[in-house]
Amino acid sequence: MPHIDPELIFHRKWWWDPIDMEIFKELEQTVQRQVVAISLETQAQILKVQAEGVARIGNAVAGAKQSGR
Amino acid sequence: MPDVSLEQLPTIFSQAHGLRNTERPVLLIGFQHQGNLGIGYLTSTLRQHGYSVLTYDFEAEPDLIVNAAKQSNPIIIGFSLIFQFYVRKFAFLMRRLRDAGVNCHFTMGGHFPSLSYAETLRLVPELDSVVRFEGEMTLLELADVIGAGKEWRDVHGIAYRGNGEVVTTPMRALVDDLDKLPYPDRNFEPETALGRKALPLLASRGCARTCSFCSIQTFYRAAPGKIVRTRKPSKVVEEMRMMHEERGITIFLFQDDDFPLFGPVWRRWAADFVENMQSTGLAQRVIWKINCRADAVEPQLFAAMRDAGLYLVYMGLESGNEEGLKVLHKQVTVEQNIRAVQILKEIGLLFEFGFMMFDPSSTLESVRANLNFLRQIIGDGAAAAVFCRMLPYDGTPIKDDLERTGRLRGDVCNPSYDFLDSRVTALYESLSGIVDVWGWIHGYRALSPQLNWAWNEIAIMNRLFPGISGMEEYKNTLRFITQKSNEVLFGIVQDLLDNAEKGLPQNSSHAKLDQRKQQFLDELLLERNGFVERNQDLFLNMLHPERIREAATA
Repeated sequence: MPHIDPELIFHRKWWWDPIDMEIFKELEQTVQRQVVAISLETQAQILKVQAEGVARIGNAVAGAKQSGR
Repeated sequence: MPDVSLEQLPTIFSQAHGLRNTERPVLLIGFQHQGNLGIGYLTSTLRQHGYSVLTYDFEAEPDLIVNAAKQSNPIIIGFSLIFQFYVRKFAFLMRRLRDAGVNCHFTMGGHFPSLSYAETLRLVPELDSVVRFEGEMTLLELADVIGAGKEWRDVHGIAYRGNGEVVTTPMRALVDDLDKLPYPDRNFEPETALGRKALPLLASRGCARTCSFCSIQTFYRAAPGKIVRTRKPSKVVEEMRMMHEERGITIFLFQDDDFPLFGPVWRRWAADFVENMQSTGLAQRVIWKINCRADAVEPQLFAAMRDAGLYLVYMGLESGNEEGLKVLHKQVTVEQNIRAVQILKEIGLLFEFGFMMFDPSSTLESVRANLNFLRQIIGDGAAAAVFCRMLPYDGTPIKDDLERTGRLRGDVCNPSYDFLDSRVTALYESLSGIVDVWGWIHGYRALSPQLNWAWNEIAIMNRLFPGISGMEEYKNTLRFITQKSNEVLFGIVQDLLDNAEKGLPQNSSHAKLDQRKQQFLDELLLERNGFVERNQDLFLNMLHPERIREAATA
């Protein structure tokens, strides 16, 4: 392996080719993954809120029974 | 009546009414790769009028952007959409911001939002408005009125949802005098090539031509005002001098839609620019790249531009057959395309080009003509072969035409169309699928762009690292590798074409082609790195002459 100063390393072409569909394909896939992730996250939050609500109702019912109302 | 420019109006208006409140910042988000001059101009214009501006790359971690938006409490967040493919990603980001409680005004600008504003508002429900066409003054005025708690729906040059329908306000004229805009903000690290720093800039805005596949021409024609505006050559050179002296920039990438060269007026402009580059001595210290059309290339002017630092010419050749050029409304001939390449080769200028192997008019014959054209211009290995299929972007005449004739397919993020001959469809699918043309031509790791990057380096070495020994030998080796790579690629297209014409199945081996591609890449890196390593001290001494002086005084 040649030893090349970091300033002189051959790096990929950095100017943007607007027709480079691969970038767009990758972006699209990333977006789709993120949408799935956020959707699961939202569902988890909804379930959490629902569970908390059920617990509160349960507590209220239990409290009401104890107080004889 | 005092002489009041368009640029001064918002300032005068706001100051007169005591409207401007710059306590809160403006946040701008956009694609920042290579620098984004659009965001740069918006930023500098807002700063000139007292606003602090935060800019973020939209590819940054969404959490980073969300936190920045929550902490800075901006008046407005402006999203810069360069290409319509990104629209869903922007929509996703905006939803994240809203979910996190960021409730300021969201607006978006760019070619696609300007021309397809109703579609943009439909696709991005979190948007409050769209800034249409050139956005400097419109965004400033939006920030002014929103910051002051006033009605923003009266601002000219926007679109928004109102009473169940999309409303547009009167259009704002294009910026008349580009030199009245402040220099764009470039608060990012420049990209480098062989240690030499590069930055983008603009000498003009707009395009006078009418290519059917391009939304730029529609963008500048839809808004009121002069379609093409050029800056004063002396002002452009002054900006380059400043960037060279203050930031050590030696490579300038002109991002003009079409560098001012065509016709007597713009040829005079280019001659003035060359004269300024020479008289200031900048011609000997920096190099620059332009985008232009084939019909603008002529020997005398381009030789003078070469002597003033021009080192790379990107041309939109687009097609190698007359019917294709006609459908694309290029208004050039195949002969003009060939002549332009010949001239550039003769005067020793590196060139790159855009080329659409497939367009809506494609037939097997036209694809063969395109292949022969590519063989004619780069069969010698002067550049690596790059080609694509024309895509029907929103706002283009060709997309409207495909829609009218029932051939438009896909959606805004993946626009497509039917070819008229099913054999062309099969050929295209073979090329993009079986042969994995993406890996050869497109993508960060693809072969052709890396070969062209190596050519770019050679042009930089020639101009900014004079006297390196063994240059001719390395150049010949690179030409040989490029020639062989092109031959293999052309051979693939040829075989697929022959099979399509004979109705035979496509039987290329994907794995075998990948292996050939990797061999070329390995060979390229071996030769390139060997050459650079052998001359490393010379390169570094020329990059850092101060180190030699320090060593001598020590």
